[in-house]
Amino acid sequence: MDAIENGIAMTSEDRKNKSLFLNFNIRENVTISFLKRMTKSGYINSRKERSFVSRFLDSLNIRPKDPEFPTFTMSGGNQQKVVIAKSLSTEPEILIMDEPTRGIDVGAKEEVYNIIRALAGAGKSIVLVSSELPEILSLCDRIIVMNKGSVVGELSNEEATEERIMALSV
Amino acid sequence: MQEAAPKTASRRRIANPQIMQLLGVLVALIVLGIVFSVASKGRFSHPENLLTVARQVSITVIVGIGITFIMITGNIDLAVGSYLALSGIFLANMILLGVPWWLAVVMTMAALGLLQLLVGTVIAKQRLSSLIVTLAMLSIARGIALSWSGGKPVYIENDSFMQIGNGYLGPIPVPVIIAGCALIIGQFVLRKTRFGRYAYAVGGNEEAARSSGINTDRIKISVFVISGFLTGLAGCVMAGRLFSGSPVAGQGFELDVIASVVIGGTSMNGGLGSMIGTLIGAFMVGAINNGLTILGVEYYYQLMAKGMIIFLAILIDRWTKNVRG
Repeated sequence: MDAIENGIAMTSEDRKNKSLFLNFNIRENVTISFLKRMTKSGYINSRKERSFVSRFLDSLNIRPKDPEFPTFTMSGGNQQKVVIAKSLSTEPEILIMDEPTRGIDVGAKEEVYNIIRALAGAGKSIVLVSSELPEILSLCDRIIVMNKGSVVGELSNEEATEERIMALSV
Repeated sequence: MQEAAPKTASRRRIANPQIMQLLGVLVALIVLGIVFSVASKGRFSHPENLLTVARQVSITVIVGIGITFIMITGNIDLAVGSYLALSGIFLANMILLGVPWWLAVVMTMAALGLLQLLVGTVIAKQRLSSLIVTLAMLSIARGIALSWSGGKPVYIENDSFMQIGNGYLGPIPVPVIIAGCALIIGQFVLRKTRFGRYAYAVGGNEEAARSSGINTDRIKISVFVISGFLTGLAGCVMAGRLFSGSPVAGQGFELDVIASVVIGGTSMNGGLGSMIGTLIGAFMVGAINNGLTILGVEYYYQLMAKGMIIFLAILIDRWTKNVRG
């Protein structure tokens, strides 16, 4: 709760257990963190809800583009986009993403990368936690390598190569 | 670049398993009604009998609304039968003390609400299983009801109060009106308010609910309090029908209520459910109770039938849950 208020949001590694409500549809999932905005003395304004969600359906290219679509039948990639939409719903400045493309097919991976680049371009700070080196190299401006919980090195994107990162991490 | 999502966005959404289940139960109910009518040579569908069924179902529905809320959050309450008796005893004693009956009803609802506040707080804050805690309360509450009343019914002699259990508003019995109002309010709160949405969230994925900024403890405690109010009310209606607070009332009632709620599509794991479903489930249970009694089936067999229905309902619930993933 404090994190939300301070403009920080996180998408966690284990989306099924940690972030996604499989009993909810897309709309209910995306609005749950920010329901206050669409509620007046307890009553939910459905129209406000739907317009709120449609923004994300478009910008994240969630398919199918139906806010009433149940999330439990969606593909991993689209589910992850819903999770991202959830975390974006509170309009955070800082977004922490833990293994955001785990378990997603190649096409959706690329879509998520584009989303991340777009967010960064819009001025958001993104902390990407990942164990996939190609992903890190293609997305990150600054790379911090950790080993057993401690920081063991820092590289800028220009300096970094797969070998250098691997060397630091052992 | 295969997307597994079916391209149904342009057409209707895929069949909602919840609605399918409800439709299935409705069909089963109609078939059952026809079977009972034929087997009882028309006694079942006699208007007088149907009114009786409606009155009995009303009590189940009133409590069922509270239980639906509780089960949607992923909890359960096994003690409602005992609470029903306790409410009756409390009410009867208040009236004996000279409290005007309408105030006594309010006090009973408040008392049960307070009791459930305690129960809910213990469950939420101590992180105890609601199954175990309410199982204990089943005995505790029954014990309190029995000891307070000395094991005997506490008679209520108050004509205006009798209207609650036995009166009519036009052609419709009062309990049915009360149940109907509670149902409409309950369904509204569930679907259209932030509280209702949060209840579904807590039941669907408690951890995600917490990280979405929901005060899960408060939601859990609240649904128990709501159930307390409703059970208190139902206990008063029942006391009205029995003309007394009976310490042995409601034994096995929890089976009826939970069966109704589960048949109506509320998942035992939380996150799914509706008041309409509970209504249909309550009619199903009520019809079975009444139909079997009219046909002269012995109580023992009725118990077995009820047990098998609950078993079936849980199986269907499990099957629906698999679909949900």
